[in-house]
Amino acid sequence: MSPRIVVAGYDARGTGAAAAVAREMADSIGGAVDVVVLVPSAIPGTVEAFVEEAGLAGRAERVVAYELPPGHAYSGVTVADALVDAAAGNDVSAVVLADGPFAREAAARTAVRLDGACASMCSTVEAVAGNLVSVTRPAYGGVALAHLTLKASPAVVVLAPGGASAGTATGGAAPAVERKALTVSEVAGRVTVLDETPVVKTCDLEHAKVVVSVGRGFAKPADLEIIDDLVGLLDAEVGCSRPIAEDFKWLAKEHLVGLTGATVTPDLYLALGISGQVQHLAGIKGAKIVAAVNSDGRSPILKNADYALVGDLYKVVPALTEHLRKRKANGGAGG
Amino acid sequence: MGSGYAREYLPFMPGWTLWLLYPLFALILAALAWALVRRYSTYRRRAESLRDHLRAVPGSPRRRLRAALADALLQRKVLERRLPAVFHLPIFYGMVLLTIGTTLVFLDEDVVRHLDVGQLMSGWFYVVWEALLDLAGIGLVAGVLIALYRRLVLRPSFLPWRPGTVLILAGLLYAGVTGFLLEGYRIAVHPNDWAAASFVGYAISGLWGGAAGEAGGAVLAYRLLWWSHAAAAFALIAALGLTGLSHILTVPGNVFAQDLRRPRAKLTTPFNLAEVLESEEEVELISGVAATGDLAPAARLGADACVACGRCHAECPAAAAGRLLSPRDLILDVQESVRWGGPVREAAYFEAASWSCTNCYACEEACPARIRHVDYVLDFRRALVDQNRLDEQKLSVLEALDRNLNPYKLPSHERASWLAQVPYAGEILVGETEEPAEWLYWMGCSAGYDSRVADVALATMRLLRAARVSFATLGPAEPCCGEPAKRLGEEGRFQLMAAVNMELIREAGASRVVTHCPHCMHILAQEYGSLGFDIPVLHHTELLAELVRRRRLPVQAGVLDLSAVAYHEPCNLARAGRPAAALEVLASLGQTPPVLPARSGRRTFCCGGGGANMWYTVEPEEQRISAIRLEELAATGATTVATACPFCLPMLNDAAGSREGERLAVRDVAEILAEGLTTDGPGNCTRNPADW
Ligand SMILES: Cc1cc2nc3c(=O)[nH]c(=O)nc-3n(C[C@H](O)[C@H](O)[C@H](O)COP(=O)(O)OP(=O)(O)OC[C@H]3O[C@@H](n4cnc5c(N)ncnc54)[C@H](O)[C@@H]3O)c2cc1C
Ligand code: SF4
Ligand code: SF4
Repeated sequence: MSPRIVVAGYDARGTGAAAAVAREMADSIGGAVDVVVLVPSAIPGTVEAFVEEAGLAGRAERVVAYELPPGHAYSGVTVADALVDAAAGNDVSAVVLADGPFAREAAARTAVRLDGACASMCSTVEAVAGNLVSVTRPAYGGVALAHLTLKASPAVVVLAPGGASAGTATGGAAPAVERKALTVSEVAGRVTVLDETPVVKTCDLEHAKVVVSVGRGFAKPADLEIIDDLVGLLDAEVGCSRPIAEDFKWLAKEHLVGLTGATVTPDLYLALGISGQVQHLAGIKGAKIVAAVNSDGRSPILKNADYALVGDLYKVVPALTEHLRKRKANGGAGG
Repeated sequence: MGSGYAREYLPFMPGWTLWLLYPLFALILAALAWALVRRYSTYRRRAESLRDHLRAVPGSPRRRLRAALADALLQRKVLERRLPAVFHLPIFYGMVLLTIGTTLVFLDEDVVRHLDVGQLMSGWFYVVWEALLDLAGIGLVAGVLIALYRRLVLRPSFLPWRPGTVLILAGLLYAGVTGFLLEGYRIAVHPNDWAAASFVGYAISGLWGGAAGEAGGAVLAYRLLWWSHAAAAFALIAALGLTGLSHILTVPGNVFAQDLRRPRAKLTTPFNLAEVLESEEEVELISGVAATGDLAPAARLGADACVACGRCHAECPAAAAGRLLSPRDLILDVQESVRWGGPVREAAYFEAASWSCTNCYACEEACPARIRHVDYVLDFRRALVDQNRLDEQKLSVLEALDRNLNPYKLPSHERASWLAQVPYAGEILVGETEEPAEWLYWMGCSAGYDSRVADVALATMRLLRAARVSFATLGPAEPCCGEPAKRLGEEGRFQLMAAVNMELIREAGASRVVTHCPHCMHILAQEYGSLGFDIPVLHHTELLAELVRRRRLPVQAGVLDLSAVAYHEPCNLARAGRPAAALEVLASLGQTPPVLPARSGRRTFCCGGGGANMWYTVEPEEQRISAIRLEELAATGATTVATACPFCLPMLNDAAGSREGERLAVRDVAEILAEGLTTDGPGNCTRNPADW
């Protein structure tokens, strides 16, 4: 029986990313990948659509869709139940979870029930000799990285948020889809779902690769329109400073970046008309490249930026947009 | 002196009156005793009684008793507000005098007379006493009328609707008015030469006129009135044990039960981790109040003492901002649940309120019962932490304290990186100087990470160097003092941080600590202090004031134009019993002193950044606290706001940015003072100045 890697994620994006990691591991040990999905509450459309969206073709051999009994929701307990069931009777060398709601709880429960090891926040995961798994995770508050080998099997790992990218799907054979009723363990009965309110999300700053962020350098709400094309060209998410979200309420609170808002980790963070007070900077430490446009050469943001441009954003933004448009038309890359 | 000046005893009343009155009185006293004993029995947590607490509370009982009596007899806290001063004082003293007067009458007739030593209520003493009692009666009636007018007509928004209080006021009014009517009747029927001394009764006797008499229906009316007067008095005595009238006892009781030496900014220390770790026994680290059932006896007495006056509510910045907190309602909710048979409330019930509090102490300053609201808030927070009910924002702050040693969640190795550019950095870093410096300059996390506050630190250092003060700083090696952990209710983590920091500071070898952060200051001085740290800690304004006084600073006095500078007093200085050193510094430097906003001094209004509010958002909120305060500061006409706290600074600065119109500058006192430097001094610091 070939070793298996079992995968679970909260949504298609995370599941796809976790499956990509699992695929590499499975290939290195000659194993197979099983993906666990909880229906109906976890995914909006059909299982097939989910498989498609997550790009599982070529990444997984098998998808097991567990039907949640009425009254039960997606939770640390139910995900663990599904993972344990999928592992039963198989030679499982690792369980890979995408980070997301309940992921760490599910990982801990699964590891305990399968007598395995557990690690979270993993930026790399590799299968190593002896059916063991080695991971990299942050230590000392992110100033160092720890390389760990998990000594018990299976290794239950949770990927770092936004760390692993789904990459582009390789294509290949679509996985076999299997449906099963989920047997929920007794502890889940202690939680009763009273009501469900879907969260309407207008942006996903945490996963964004490019963030264009606006501050009080914009004089009025209508002016925000000038960034629309830029955002489109860069395939960016829109962030903002606190006055924009909380005092003037030009944008919803979800767009707020900083100490009391989102912490972002994009490849490019473009700050337009933001002065860069520490409360704002606290949210962009993880950005790979910070670029800033500010008319005041003394603004702290300029000192904290990799690319600092002293200038009027009302002139710079259109020029930048135009430049990008031309490059794109000439077949250049987006950024 | 005529022996005829004497009180007539129970005229127009049948002989059996006393046979009914005294047993009834005894019954009422018994009821009162029963109610008081029952109430006292609620000041208990499991095996721990209020007496146990009183035995353990530090400070001499005599001093505490004196403080309690001073509050009660001088009505110290009452007099702090104008209208209550006008009505509460006459009601209180009116009732005290009238109660003594009535007691004396009965004592005189039924005790003193039988001792064959003459009569108390006779002669000139009697005449003057009668006049005084009428004055007391007038005070009582007028005071009650004003109080009723305030409650029923003015209805200030901070005053909650309490039918019981209105009933008590009505009872007092009835007792007062009927007392006068009865006196008037007696004078009308038995007029005498000295009756005019009872000037109110004398005037009323005219109103009775012919209606009063020795017999018939008039006497029946008199008797009914007399009994109803007695009934009102008895009801009030019983109310003393059963209603809010009990504040006469509970408020002084609460003062007596407190450790008066505990400064306002000293938070409670539920355990001492170092001692617990050393002790052999298994000790459970209980911190916080998970439900009202867990409240300590003193906290129960405290809540019971609340008179629902609403002063705390009126002063509270969180309430003003429309947050889900009213210190008044919080205490009244606790009161309701600790008084007999009230509902037990979990800490979660107080969750929104607890996190809305900025620990500004405005409520405590205002409270006439001297309740310490912040203690309750902190205890609920501790329980919420214990129950893991923290949201992502608060959790990540606590994690950052562990990982990054600062609440900004920024890398520890980037701390105070700006120091590298300071040319004299080598002379002021602990460990790099030959001898330990005299002062340790504790900069705090804000100077380490907030470039705006780094400017404050630079200005402070410029001043210290100009005054040749020997100082050193830990710079990049300085960790967070632990204030966010303490105020968020993570006591264990706080004490771990404190233990490390105390060692670090001791090793630095300085004999005193100076900091520009009032928050760090209290944590080091008060909280570390209660854990065994004994190095004095000063605020930079205090040190600067001292330097100005000793003419150690090369600044010219009386030159700066401060007419457009408003000073925002940080809560943690103005209400924490620290001298107003910043004002002293500014006043000596300016042509005129800085302007002060409407609320200043001990009644200063919060910037919104205290109580760890700096590190999380509070929802819901209608208005930002900082915006309310900035508006007040702007109303003075100032264009610059001076302050002396690295939390107030970014808070008000942030509000300044979002305010319409000309942007106000927000600056630290040290920055303004540094501007007045005539020279930067010798440029290097002497390490051993003679008189520090
Ligand atoms: C407790 C607390 C928590 C906070 N949390 C956060 C948080 O999580 N996130 C956050 O963002 N803030 C937070 N703040 C607010 C923060 O302190 C700053 O006030 C805020 O970030 C400033 O926003 P801004 O940079 O948009 O505005 P400003 O500081 O007013 O800066 C506007 C900038 O635009 C520039 N500008 C103006 N016109 C132009 C132009 N035509 N072209 C180019 N540039 C121009 C100006 O030079 C200036 O630098 C917090 C504050 C406090 C006190
Ligand atoms: S400390 Fe300040 S914010 Fe907290 S309840 Fe009292 S007045 Fe309100
Ligand atoms: S807590 Fe104090 S100030 Fe507040 S309502 Fe009660 S007695 Fe008044």
